Amino acid sequence: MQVNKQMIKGSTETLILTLLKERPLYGYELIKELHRQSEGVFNLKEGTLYPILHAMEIEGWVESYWMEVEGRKRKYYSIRDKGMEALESKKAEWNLFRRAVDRVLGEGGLT
Amino acid sequence: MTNRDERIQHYLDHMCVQVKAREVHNDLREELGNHMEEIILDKEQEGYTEEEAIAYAIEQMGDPAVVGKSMHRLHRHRMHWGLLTGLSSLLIISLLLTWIYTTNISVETFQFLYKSHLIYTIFGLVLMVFLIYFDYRKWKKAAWWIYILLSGMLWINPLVSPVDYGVQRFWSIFGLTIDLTTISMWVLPLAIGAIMLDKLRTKCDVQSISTYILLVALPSFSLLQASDWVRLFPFGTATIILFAWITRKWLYTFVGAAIAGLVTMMQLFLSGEYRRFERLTAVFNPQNDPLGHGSYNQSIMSILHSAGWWGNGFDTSFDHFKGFYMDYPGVMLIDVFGWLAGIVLLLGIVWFLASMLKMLPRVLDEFGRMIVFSITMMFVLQMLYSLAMTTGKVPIVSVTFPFIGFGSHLILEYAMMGLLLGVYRRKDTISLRSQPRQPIRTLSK
Repeated sequence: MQVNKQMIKGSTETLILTLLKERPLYGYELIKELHRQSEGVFNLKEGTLYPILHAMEIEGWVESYWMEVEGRKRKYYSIRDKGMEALESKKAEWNLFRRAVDRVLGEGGLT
Repeated sequence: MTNRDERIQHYLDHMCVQVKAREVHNDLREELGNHMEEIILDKEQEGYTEEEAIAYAIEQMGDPAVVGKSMHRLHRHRMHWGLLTGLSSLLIISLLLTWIYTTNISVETFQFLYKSHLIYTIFGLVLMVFLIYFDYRKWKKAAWWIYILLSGMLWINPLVSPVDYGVQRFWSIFGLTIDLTTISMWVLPLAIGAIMLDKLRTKCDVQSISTYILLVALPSFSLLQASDWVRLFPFGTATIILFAWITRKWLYTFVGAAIAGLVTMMQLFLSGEYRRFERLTAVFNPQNDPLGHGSYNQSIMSILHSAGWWGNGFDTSFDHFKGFYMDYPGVMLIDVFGWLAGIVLLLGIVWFLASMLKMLPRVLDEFGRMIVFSITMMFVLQMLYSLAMTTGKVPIVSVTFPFIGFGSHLILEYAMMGLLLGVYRRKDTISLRSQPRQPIRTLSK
């Protein structure tokens, strides 16, 4: 089943930050990892990913550095303290949203 | 060039056309180009033909114009409009005060000050614009030369500059007069910071710390020789705070500051300079010393008292304070426009300094951050003391009011502002490629 793009858009930053919290990643790896962990639901386009990553770097949420791995130069992104804080608040926001939607739909078994 | 490279380059060209800040092009090309290569390699392993793999990669990246436009929105040259507005306000206040002063004072020599004030301002603004557009990172390579030049000039300063009220400040050569100690006070902390930033950050050991101390001690000694305590104190304070900021070693800094303070005190007494403390006693007891230094404090206080909420207007007696009005523009502002204007100025200055400080977390380049920190700190020291002098409650010394007070120091202050705005201008376009950072999280705090 395809998920509506509008729904994915709002949570992309949260997902990226969550992945970067585990370990530093470069762009291509990030997309593959997102695809794998979401079992194919999130098929993030490169044209969407990079502007988000660069915006997060300017915000000070992540930092980037170049590293040569297996003869290829790759630009890695790693999360910074400010990014951790942003992730926490985004997670809280998401949980609130999810609970509210579940409640309206009458699903999720939350009482 | 193979077909593959050509098509990737073609895509990247289309994207980069949209991004006006050229310095980010290389970084973007490399990052997105590498990404496309990785897609192609993976797809070829999955059994795609090269042609299919390339087409897939380009499809996957999205419309180059759209990507380029969003990158342009992120990586643009920025102007700090808030600071520029503040600066314009200070400029208008400065010209207005000088105009009021020069048109009202009866002493003829002071009536011509408006012209030189205007020239200093224009010259400063030209320099500021240059420094905004000049890539500030180039100064880092010149730091040693600037340091050597200024220290050398300070070293021979006693031979060339005339003694003025016991202080040797103005370097006269070839008919040009340079306010050498003021230049040194502003520029040397920047140069020392630029030289030592990487060394202290990567390896804060005995060698790098003693190099820093030596670099500070040399010009300090020269400033001491010139008896320019008023420039020595902010220079010393700035370099000590800068050291703390770079190394984050608070204990070392505290011990260093205590030793430096002690040595300075001893030097003050040994050199017979303790008469300068008279200015301090004058603050606490201005009536006892009406003709000496206390008279300034007393005049300021009586002017402030007479101003009231709305000021004395233009018919105030400008001859009361004569030339000194130019050094204490805040006093004049309150005299003419009243306490309310003084409060507005105070709030404006606090807001101005706060906006400078708020730039710090938004600048990622460490050298840029060092420049912002160092310049902001110096403005804070100068402006707060100038404001304090305006109240008449602190010793009156030759600290001038940045941007408002009269003098050639204006040029330097506009230049420093240019450097600051130049850092801000490039905050989103600097590629970290030129400075490979290790993924050490502790450094990025």
